[in-house]
Amino acid sequence: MKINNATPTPIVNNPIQSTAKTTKPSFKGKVADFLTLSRAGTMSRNLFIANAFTFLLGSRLITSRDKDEKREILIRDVPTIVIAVMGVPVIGEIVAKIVQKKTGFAIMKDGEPGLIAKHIFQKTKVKEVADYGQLKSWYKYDENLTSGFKGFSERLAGLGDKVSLKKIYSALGGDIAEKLKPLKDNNDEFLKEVLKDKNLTKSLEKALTDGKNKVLKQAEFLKTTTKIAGFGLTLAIIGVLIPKLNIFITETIHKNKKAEKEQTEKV
Amino acid sequence: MKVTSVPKLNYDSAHNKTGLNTMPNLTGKVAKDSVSFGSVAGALKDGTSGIFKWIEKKGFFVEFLIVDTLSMIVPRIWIGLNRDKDKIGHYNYKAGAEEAGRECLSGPSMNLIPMGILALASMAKPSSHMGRETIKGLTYNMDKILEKTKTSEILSKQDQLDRQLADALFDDAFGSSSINKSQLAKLKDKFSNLLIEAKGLKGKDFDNKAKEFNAHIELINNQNKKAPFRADLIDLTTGVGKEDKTTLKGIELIKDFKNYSKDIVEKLSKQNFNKTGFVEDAKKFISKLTTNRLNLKTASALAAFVAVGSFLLYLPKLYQQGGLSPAQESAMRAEGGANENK
Repeated sequence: MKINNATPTPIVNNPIQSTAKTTKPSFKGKVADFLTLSRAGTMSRNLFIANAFTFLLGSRLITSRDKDEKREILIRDVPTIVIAVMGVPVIGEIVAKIVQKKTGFAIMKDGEPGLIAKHIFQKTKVKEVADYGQLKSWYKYDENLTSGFKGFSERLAGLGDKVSLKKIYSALGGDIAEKLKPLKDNNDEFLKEVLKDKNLTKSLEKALTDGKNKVLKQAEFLKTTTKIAGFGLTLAIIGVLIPKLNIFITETIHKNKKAEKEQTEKV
Repeated sequence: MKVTSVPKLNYDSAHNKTGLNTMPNLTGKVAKDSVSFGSVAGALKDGTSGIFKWIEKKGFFVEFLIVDTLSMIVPRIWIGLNRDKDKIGHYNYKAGAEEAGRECLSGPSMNLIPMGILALASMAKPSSHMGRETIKGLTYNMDKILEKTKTSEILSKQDQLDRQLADALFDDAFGSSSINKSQLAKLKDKFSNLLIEAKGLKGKDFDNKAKEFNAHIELINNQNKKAPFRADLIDLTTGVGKEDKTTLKGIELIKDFKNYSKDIVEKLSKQNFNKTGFVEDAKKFISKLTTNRLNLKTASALAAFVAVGSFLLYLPKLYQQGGLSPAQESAMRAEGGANENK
């Protein structure tokens, strides 16, 4: 259950006897979460992996014709299934963390921990890469924002420790970047100095209102690099590394067997 | 403190925002110095971001299909064809064909079969398409309306019920926000109007209405004292507990509202209720429908699991050819076996 942070909680004064069951974590609830199809119709991640392991792997193992095929299936398919489902997001998250640290842009948000994170690593909160819609909300200024440029900037600054407003706004380039250069690095002091200069604030607002502004484009591109890394590495591991490793192992085992046979024949 | 003048907050202001919706800019208040990267590198950056935006929009299926095709189907077929090519003297067609059969059929079917099952379930009972929490939330708000209903006649008027539900959803999400009362009333009016208007629309018209609704949600959220984490999200209470909430995007809610209205509210309005005790009867009726839809969701997922499983179990019979496995053949060649099946 995700809660939109800034919208205030409606106060329920008269708790009404609702016919909808309240969501207390129970076994039945957990089963219901597991047996879920997404809005698009695909199986949930855990359901997909469970299905693949049970049927894909299971069937291939049962109908395999010999020991070699069985071994090939295990070496090739077990890591493949896991990486196919989780590779792109997990690699993306690792790359995103590095990108955030290096560039000062925020491209990650809190997310629900998966089974492994929750039960093995005991995490209650994890960071996942934000989607493009979220990036638009963060990096495109809306003139209807009641909290104004101050609220907009404070929201950005609050997204992470390494977020640097100076670096982000400097991505606009041109005159604005020049004006921002002499300002302080620390987010709070930077914001104070910017707000003092009314013209600078106005020009920042104007530049950031554009749906195609350079800051948004840069943030989107940074997220895209995490996707490229995710896809690229996943493709390389599943498509080339694992199959080649698989064939190599088969050949090695049997070359050794052949050498052994020759040894015993010699004796 | 930023003072927003009243004209900015009316209906047309939604159209003044640059790049936020597909409708043409009515007042022409566009940032004329719209910046873009403007160079080859920039265009390339834009292009790649565009591709991945499209992939993200389509969801897990497309992402998985790309990973599956590029990392499994194509490379494995190629490696299979080339397996022991030096030893046989030509492409290893047997290995290649088996890889092709297995990979092309397993990956896509694991997604297409569940998608087909969900489509069937949604055609039968439209409410089974939305999230569990969303059905619970809509029913929770529906119950609140029933509690306030004075006579059983109102229950037969679906339009009135829909309107009340739309209003209730607005109050649920934005009732205790910091926006002033008169402004709030205007926003609520448009909110409910959009939801009701969308009920009768389909296809492109519906999509446009959904975008308009999404923009309106953003407008409302941006009027909070603190900048919202994400402007196009709306909260929904699902139960009496403090944690019983869920969040969805504006474009999702408008679709779910339409399905809920068509599926559950319409059925409620067609029922006959006694003049006395109708509140309890109506609530029981809705509760039964809600539970039924929730169970249908679970059943669909289970059916998908079993259907995909059955197909995968049967699959090897479709691609396995006679004789030894390509692995065994390869092993024999490595050992230097004389009789190899070509």
